[in-house]
Amino acid sequence: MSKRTHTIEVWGDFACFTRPEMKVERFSYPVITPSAARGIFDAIYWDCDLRKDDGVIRPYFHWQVERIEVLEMPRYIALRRNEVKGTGPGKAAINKWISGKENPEPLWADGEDATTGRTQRQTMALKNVHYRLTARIIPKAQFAAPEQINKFDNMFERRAKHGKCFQQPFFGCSEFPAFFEYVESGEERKPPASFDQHIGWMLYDVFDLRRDVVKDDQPFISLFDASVKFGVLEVPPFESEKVRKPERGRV
Amino acid sequence: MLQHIVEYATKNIPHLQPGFGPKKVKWRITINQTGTAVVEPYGSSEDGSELERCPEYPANLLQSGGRCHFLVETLQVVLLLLGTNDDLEKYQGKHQYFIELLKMAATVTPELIKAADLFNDSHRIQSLSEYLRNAGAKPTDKVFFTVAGLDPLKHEPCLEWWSEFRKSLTIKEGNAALMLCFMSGEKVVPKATHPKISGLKAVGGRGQDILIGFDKKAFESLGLEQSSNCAMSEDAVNRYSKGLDHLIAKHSRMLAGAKVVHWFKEAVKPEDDPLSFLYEPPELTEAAAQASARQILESLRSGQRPAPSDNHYFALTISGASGRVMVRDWMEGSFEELVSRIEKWFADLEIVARDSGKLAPDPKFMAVCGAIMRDLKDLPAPTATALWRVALAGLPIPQPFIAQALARFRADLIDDKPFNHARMGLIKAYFIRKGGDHNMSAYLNKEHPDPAYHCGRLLAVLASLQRAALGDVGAGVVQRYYVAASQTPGLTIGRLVANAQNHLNKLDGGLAFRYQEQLAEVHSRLGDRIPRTLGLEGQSLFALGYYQQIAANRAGKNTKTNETNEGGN
Repeated sequence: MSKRTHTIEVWGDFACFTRPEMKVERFSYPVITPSAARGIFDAIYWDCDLRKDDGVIRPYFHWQVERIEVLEMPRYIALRRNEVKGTGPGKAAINKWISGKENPEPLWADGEDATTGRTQRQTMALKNVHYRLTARIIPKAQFAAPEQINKFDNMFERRAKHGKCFQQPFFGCSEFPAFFEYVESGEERKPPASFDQHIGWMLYDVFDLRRDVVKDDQPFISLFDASVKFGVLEVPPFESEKVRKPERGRV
Repeated sequence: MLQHIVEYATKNIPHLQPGFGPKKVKWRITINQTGTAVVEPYGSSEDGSELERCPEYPANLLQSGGRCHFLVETLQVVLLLLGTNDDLEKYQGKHQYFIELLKMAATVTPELIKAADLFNDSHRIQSLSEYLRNAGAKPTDKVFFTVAGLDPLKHEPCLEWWSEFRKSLTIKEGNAALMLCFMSGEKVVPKATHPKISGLKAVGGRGQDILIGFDKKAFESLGLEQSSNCAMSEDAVNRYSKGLDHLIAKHSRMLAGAKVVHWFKEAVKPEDDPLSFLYEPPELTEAAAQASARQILESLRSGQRPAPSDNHYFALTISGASGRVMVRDWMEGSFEELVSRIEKWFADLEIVARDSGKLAPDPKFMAVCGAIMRDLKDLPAPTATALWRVALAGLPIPQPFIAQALARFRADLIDDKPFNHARMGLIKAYFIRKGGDHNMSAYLNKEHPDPAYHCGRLLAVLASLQRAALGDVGAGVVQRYYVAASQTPGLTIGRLVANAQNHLNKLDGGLAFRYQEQLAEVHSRLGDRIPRTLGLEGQSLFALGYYQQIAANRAGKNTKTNETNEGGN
């Protein structure tokens, strides 16, 4: 693993880190989840080896979020939106649309049966969120030479300092953008909010971060016992026994 | 959130076992050794009594039809006592299944054969039905039975049989892949569908609403189906659903279009429950000799009243929405923190009474909500929920609420309605919670630094002067000029003061002198600082100054002001 950690401050107007048990009438966790924090680091810098011969993705590394500092007290806001009940078709159908073998079929918002059409749902989102996130690069075995790790660290730092990202980072839902700023080590910043809560079993991630090759998008749901003390959520390493994981190949 | 409900259920509900639950039963059939039966009302009240451990058929399988619960069911199923719209064929199927279950359970409890024979005899159940119909029974009333002196609901072999039988019904779910339980973190077989929650019919629910359910494709993720999107064991599901049912039934209160459920980690005596004070301050509900909410809170905080140490509170706001349970808010924190915040809520809302010169009683929470609406029934649930959070979390009062309160204040003033204490307290609390030094006092504050406050006071004195000089003139200074004076005092106040001289001329020397003195006092505070226009906050201070001056005038010379509070003259 890299000896360096990187800290960024992230903030935004809204956020929704949906609790899996309340995914229909959405209700957010009071703080950002490790997987959402990882997504922000990924959006700034993540890279992989994509070979044309087998078409599989070999990530160079994954991000290990270590510490989440809550800088603003969690405040909820209720939003109501018209959503659709159905989902888009699978990859095969979309490929046919692209190749012109079939005419595209829109997702009808005015369907009348139980599985299509509009439905009004509530989102209990967070407003005015502000976090300080600290994470470390964990390189994959074949990319773990010191000069490579150093390169990854420097690339992230350079990109983050220039405000560069591959995609706009977001807070749980892509409609809630996140803005970020790199924090130099030793820099004095705002202290965490006086927030304490035992959240209980919280979603850690939905993918197996240890995998060297990404062949599919099979879920791998891991959990950890989350507790925010004095505004700080300490995140255990993914390999740790504190992170409950299913057996390999299972959800 | 749900883990706290599970903890509550584990601590407070006996017999928490999947396949069993409480039911309210109204009738009991007593079957003796010879097979003859007598039916009688059960329980002390008209609504019957609750039996804690009744067998429950899996809800998802019940929907397929032709199935029913074991041992405790409705009169429709047990005795085919049907209403005019009931489908005979449907209930005959359920009735036969009820008998079939009894026959199967008779392998461990042979007495049940007698009951099965009775319910299979159409003549005998008809005579029981006729008796019940004459006694005013409803087809949906629940009934249970005892047979040959045995109560099957207390017969362990019979209940164990049910438990095993029920497992065999759900064996299909048992073959599913193991997943991590979101409640316990253990690897479990996820329950495919969760039971529904009762008690939300009054707040948009259907009576039976689902909290965790993923029936539409758009709400499933990662290729997972149904409730495997949030894997939970059957035991965890049973505990959270029973716990929430229990909390809604025993510890919920209406809050506009939602219900607030609150409880404590360690039980708190009802008379020491700070959250109850929000709804019913003790001095409003009990004898006048009772301590006020703030006195009790103070004694709880200082330890004079014993309270469990390291206690926590939990508050959940929920409502129903098209068959689903909607969580609107969740709050938790330490008991000490809660006590100090409720204490602060009452302290911030403290305001002088409109005519006694003393402090107005602590307002009920719903009175504060009603202070910003024309009618309490118009109160939107999000507004009530937001104010609830303001009270419990010690947050600032949102500015739009003050705009609404001010609009209601002006409307009531023009209609000559009495002042609303909760509304004036809320306006005062807005400035306190906003932060900064706003010199807010419950009583008249002659030292207030803001000229808007003194403009309000001046209008109150002018109105009082007019009444003293002319009596009731219908539309007086206030009705005609309040709105203009509170928005553009620079244009209005001068004209009103000039007219005051005519009113002073009509008064006797002593009274005229008193009013002149009052006018001079307010003018001395104002100086030449009369603002040309006032924004929302200025208008709020204007209203507060007007109200506190009126209250001081009505209470007479002995009224308290901030000066007397501070030990001045």
